[in-house]
Amino acid sequence: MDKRFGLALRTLLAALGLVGLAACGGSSGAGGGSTPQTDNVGHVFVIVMENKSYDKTFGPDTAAPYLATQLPKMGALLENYYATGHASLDNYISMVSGQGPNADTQADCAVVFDSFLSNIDSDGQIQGLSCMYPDTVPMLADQFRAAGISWKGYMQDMGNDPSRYDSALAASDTRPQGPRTCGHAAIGGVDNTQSATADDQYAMRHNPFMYFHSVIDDQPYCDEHVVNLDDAFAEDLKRIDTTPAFSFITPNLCDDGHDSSCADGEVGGLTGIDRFLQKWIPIIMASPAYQKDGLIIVTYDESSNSASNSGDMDACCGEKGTGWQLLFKPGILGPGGGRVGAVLISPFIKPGTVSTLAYNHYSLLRSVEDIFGLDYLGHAKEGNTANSVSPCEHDKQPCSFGTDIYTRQMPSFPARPAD
Amino acid sequence: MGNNDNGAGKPVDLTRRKVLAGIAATAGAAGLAACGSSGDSSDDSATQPLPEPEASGIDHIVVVMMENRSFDHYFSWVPGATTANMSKLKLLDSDGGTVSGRHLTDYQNCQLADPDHGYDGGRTHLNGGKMDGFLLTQPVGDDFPIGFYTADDLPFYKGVVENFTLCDRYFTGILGPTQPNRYYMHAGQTDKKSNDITFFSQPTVWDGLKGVGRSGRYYYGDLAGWALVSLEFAGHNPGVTNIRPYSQFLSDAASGDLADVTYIDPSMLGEGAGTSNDDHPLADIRKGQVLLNEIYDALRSSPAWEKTLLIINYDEWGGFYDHVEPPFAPVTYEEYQATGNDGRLGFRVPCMAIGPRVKRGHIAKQQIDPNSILNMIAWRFGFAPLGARGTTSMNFAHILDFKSAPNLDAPAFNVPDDASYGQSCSSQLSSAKSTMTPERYAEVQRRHAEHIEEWQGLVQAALDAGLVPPN
Repeated sequence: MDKRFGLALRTLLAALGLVGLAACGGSSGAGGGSTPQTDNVGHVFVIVMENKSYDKTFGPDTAAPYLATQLPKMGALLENYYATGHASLDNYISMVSGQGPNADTQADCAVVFDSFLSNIDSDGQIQGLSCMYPDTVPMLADQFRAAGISWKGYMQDMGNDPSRYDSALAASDTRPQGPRTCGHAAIGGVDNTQSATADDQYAMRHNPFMYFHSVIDDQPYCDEHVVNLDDAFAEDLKRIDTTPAFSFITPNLCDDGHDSSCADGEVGGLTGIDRFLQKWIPIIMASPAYQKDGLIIVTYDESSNSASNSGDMDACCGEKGTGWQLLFKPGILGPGGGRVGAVLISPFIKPGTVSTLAYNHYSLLRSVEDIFGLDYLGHAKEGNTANSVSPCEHDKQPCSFGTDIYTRQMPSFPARPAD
Repeated sequence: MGNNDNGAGKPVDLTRRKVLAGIAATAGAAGLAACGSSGDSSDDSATQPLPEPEASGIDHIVVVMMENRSFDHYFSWVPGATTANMSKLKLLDSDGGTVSGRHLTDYQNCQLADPDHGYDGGRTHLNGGKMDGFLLTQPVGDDFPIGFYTADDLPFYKGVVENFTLCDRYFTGILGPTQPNRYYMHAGQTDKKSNDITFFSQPTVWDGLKGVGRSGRYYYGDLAGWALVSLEFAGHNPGVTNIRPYSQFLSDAASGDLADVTYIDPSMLGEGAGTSNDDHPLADIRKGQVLLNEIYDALRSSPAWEKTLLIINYDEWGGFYDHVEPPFAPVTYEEYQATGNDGRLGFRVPCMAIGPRVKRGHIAKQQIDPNSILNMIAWRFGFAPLGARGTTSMNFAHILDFKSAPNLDAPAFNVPDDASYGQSCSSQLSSAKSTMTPERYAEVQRRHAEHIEEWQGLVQAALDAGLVPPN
């Protein structure tokens, strides 16, 4: 670190009345960075990996030591973080919208059906089973758009398919980081990214934004906000004003651990996961946006989903099935997506923090909405009562990340709209 | 209403003999002659006097109706059953090409077209009794209708055939699609030939039970069944508190809280996507086996098992080949007025009886249909038969075993389950695209979408009508 900057930082922190700062900044130390420079979390980075039960990732025989032992030392390990369903897509959808699984998203929408019913029930859930969510179903990106908060989805390999390469975008001065259009199948058509090829390991079903009309119907908006990771992410991280307030990061099918022997000949699985994180976590942590007020969340979409391990279908936080799901089970063979765990790293979190409280993808959405002062959507709202003074009941509803996680400093949250 | 004036008791036997004689005379080719290689499968049981209903030892009748498979398609592997030799089957397609029966090695067949199973399609398949039109409603090059499965593909049914009773002459109520046949299961008649959303106004089994102070319950696998029974049978269904989600069946069975009559429907909404467990294409049939095994397990471990009879059947043939020409049966005046239904029963479908009062390792050769089940329910609980087949459809109780003591043996079956089942439908379709003409590909896709719209439309109508699914 530049000496002058360090000095300035210390002066600033002293002025803010914060003391006890030992492990200062940078990516070299084991700590989750310095004490935050503001009271609010301003930049959230969500990284979603694929298909590993908690025991596989965080157990003693882990094949991902960086994720399982290094990262928790820098932040917080959430031991009881659960996925909300099986297979992949329904989990991603729940993270960004609070919508529960349905029989089509449970099957990863290999055909992109567009046939939801028009009704939305009292839990904010659209009725029917389908893939494309209409404009009437609000999701996180819509909330950001309405509130003027910046966001991007960074999708590794998206646009490797040459047909998605837009030469006009490539030549555009206004969008130098992304020559590729946001990647989705035609509505009603077949998703051709259900299995990887050697030069394209993008998976539409791991990119939840592609299932919302409010995003994909506005092509320039979609192209600007859902971009190829390698085209844009490192560049965007260089300056605070180009780093989105919310970044949703999906590695390709090799680096997210989905494939164990990858289509391009690489080793995937937990090895791929560690490779990705070892590359990108230091880059994120070195970014000015992270150091100012960042929060990194690394989790999985679902557990290993092995029928022989009934725990892989466990649920938490009051998750319930509906008649739109196969046998009323969000997890197809059971009530949920299984325990996957999560690691959170932030200046607001003391390194080595462990939380045993129950969380799931709806809790994640709720926590992000806390951070940005947004209404809780769908199941994220569950159990919420206006002006509630009683503590959130983790076994009965999705709860926000609290002092169990923000162990260094509880951030302050902007006011949310009244319920 | 007493038990003896219901017309579903002894008179059934007398009439039935005539009916059977008629069938034997007109449909002899169908293989009544080939019956009976298993020792105790003679038709004598049909003439046995039944016990007094109250003393029958059957207090709980559970009916699970699956979707869209024919008998030959599923059970050609059963020794002693009347079946076609499917691997030797040859039928003409609409280009005049000869196509052979094929053991299906895929449990979903996403790249194939859901076979036509409409009222008119059924008559094309029938071809005036020649039973050779099954490929004429299918895109050329698509052999799904004459594909078949074997024991290893159907591990639950393998266990049932070895341990309980398989009926090899069970016809559906009408040679037509889902809804009219489901109406037959609930009411013994229909007032439509299509799956259009309509309201049913005739008495149902639920009305019959209510009328004699007996309990009935309907469990739905997803909201498709809920909407069908809640909306279309409004005023004639078991009532809101007795229309329950399938998950509740498992807990009700575990506590022994079984109604007198229980109907269970599988999940049907995901048919087009391949995620349902009702066996309707493009469902993964392994998921159907898992569901049925779960129901069986729930019942055999229930405190009510000793007095329970489980029947598994199918709504209709789904466009799949069967070699037996279905006979005719009476229809009500109301049904004829509304539909013009010619009374042709639907092609044979799988039907099984499971329970302590069921013959073991047995093939029941008698002709039965949904009204046979309704006639048994009416006989057991004492109400008038429904529809027009109270005397012509043999009381299902005749295939049971009332001579022996109840046999409580009910072994567990080895039915594997895996989260990968029913997941991969359309990547198969996309990878098969290059092997098809654009027209055939479009037709496959159209048929995939058809049922999604049908079921979703029904649920939408129920929600629009203000019905609220229990949460």
